[in-house]
Amino acid sequence: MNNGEYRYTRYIWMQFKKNKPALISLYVFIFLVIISLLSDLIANRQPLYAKYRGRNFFPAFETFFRKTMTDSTINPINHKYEKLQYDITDWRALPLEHVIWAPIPYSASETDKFGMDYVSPGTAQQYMDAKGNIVLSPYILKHHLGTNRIGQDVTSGLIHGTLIALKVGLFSMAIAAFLGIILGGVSGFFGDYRLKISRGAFIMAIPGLFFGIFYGFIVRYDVLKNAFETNVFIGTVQLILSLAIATFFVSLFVYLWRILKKIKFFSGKIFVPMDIIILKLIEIFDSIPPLLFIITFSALFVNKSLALVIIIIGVLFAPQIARLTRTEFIRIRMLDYIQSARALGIGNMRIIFRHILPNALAPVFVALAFGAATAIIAESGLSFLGIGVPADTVTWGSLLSYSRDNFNAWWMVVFPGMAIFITVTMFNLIGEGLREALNPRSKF
Amino acid sequence: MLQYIARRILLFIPALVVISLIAFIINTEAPGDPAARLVNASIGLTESYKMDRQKIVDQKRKELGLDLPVFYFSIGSFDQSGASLHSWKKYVPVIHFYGTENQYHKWVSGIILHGDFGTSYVTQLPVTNEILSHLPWTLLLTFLSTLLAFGISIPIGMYAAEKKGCFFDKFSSVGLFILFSLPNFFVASMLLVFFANPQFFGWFPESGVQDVVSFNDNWSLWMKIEHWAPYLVLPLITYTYSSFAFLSRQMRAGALEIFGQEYITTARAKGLPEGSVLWKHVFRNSLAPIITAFASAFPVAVTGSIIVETLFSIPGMGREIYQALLNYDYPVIVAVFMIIGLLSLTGYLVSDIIYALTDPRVSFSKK
Repeated sequence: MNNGEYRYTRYIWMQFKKNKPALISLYVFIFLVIISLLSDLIANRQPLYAKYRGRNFFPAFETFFRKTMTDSTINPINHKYEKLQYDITDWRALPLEHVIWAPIPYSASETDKFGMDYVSPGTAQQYMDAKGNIVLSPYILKHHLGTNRIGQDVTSGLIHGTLIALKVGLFSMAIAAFLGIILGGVSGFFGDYRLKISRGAFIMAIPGLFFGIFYGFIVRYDVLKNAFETNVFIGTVQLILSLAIATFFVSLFVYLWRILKKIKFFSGKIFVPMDIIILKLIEIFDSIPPLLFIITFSALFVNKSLALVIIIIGVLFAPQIARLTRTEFIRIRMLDYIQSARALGIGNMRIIFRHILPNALAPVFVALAFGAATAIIAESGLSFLGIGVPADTVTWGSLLSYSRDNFNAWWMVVFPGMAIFITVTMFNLIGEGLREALNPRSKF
Repeated sequence: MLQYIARRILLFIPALVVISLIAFIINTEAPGDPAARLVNASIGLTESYKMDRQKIVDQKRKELGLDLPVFYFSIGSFDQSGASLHSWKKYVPVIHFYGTENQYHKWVSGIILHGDFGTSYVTQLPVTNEILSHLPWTLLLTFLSTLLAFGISIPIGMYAAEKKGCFFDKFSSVGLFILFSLPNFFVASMLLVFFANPQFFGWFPESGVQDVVSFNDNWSLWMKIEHWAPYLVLPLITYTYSSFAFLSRQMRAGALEIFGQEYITTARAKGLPEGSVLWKHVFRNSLAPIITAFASAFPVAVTGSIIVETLFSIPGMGREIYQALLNYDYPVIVAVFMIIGLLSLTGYLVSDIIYALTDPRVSFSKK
């Protein structure tokens, strides 16, 4: 603390830095993020730069933003235009005058005709050159970590799989945090005896719920079903729309209770036991082992997608976050500064968001870091079994599953497995580091 | 006390109802028509049946009760025919009550009264028999691996906690952390590639539980066990290592917390031998989290078995679930879902009650 300024985040960072494995993991994480963002430039079948018929092309860069980029050249023999669609052109077969290949000159899902049936790393490999001859691959065109049964390059699969693994870890935890903090916050803050609403509003909420469910879900049943069958994302959007309609009806009816206000019975107050309701919900969710839940739900959808897996993992992880948030909220709610905030007349919302939430997040962050590791294991386990992501998506888990057909292909186990292991350990170590740094009892 | 247990059991019922509802929703919302699938599986799609196929399907549907209303009541449109899509009648809600003649009631009472989970689409056999016939292998593996995991992890955790900071503690912490982060399908594949493969070390048979040719049903039990043993080594390692890592870490953390308590200092100060302090005072008090882990051991093991049994081709429940998933065999999926949900809930109930019985700090009254 040089200039006497004492900031909590800085203190945490100082603590975190002292934990060497955690710090190294953080660097590994940043490294993985960079790899996943640049994966199309690191591993791509299209060259970074090519000179062809006197013209300069930068295919890998140009398709970075537009997948179906096309261009054309003039054939010098018959002076005709020839179209080049970058992502389907076989650049290796073109007589390029000058070329700079990507560091890994294969795309993840590309199947190399000359590298099929488990080419092991280090052996002599072949490819077809521009003249149509099958020759030994030069060093740059080799499959350094081997290929799988259908000739996909393992190195490229690992690099492109990074993005998927990080997506699964981070997005699913974002969903879990969003749902979990809301649920846990509500149940912890209001408890069983703090959310008071008038009896009239409570009674009116029941027909509100009835109409809400009818107009939100039953009238729109076919719309919802179709949306989920086409795409999970569209389905989620429609689901949110339905929820909004339902919420609208409930609030409309709750607002209407003012009509009943005149009658004394209806203006009496009752408690809504938020805590018990939410705790029961959490317990029910917890009672089903997550893997079984994920598997069962992905079985409901014939169209597989990564988004579905991410959403299911996120929703399944939410109860854990909710429970942590709830405990913290209950602890903080009793502290003096909240009492004084309330005495000052500050509203519930402001107390929740400005005064409690920032102080309640520490254990949530720790759980999220560990959760990301669990999510990645879950997703790769599903891909390994072939029931998680679509069959044409290359992930670490799906690469690993090729070892089931051929036990001699040790590289199909070791490399993807190590990738999963390193990422998982990294998240676990970051979690461990965060836990120590955020623990007020640890020595500074 | 009794009141606490009674309240706990009362809260158990709504959770069970919700799980049954989720399972039922999966059952009804699953793609495909169950009656048609069952008929297809039994008679095939041959030409000669094409004429009265629809009739057979309708008959099957009646038999399965699929023509009944879905639930006790339904909220539907005033206009049920659906003929006029955009008429105002579509937007007027109506509640129908059906009484007990509905699919959910039939399904649930079938499970409660007869343990009937329906018929598998693939094998045409009752799901209950199907699951029961596959259960022994899963139970055997679960039992052995739980025994192993607890047998190894408790001494390791206790020893590491007692000698905190020494070489063994540091070494085992790092080792357990690594084991904990290793996904089980990775470990299983590694074992298969390196220890069940003649190219490296072909020490163990690669899959299944018995040799098709040499296995004889008339063997004595001991000979059978001798025959099965090598097949079970690799699956057992995979089953055990992760729960063992988890339990050891848990045990160490729990024991460390107890070591810091004042009554341990007191116990030492009054001259109790270290062994007595360790096992009587520390061990017993640090058991609580392990009891919880034990309660959820079985459901977790069954889901863990999906990957292990599939990889090692062990004819247990996990492999059964996997096959059901690949074939979209929903009755089996739903049955397993229900059974595991029930088992977990019971596990939580039992562990809560054990907790309350052993730990005087658990309060029985409302705060």
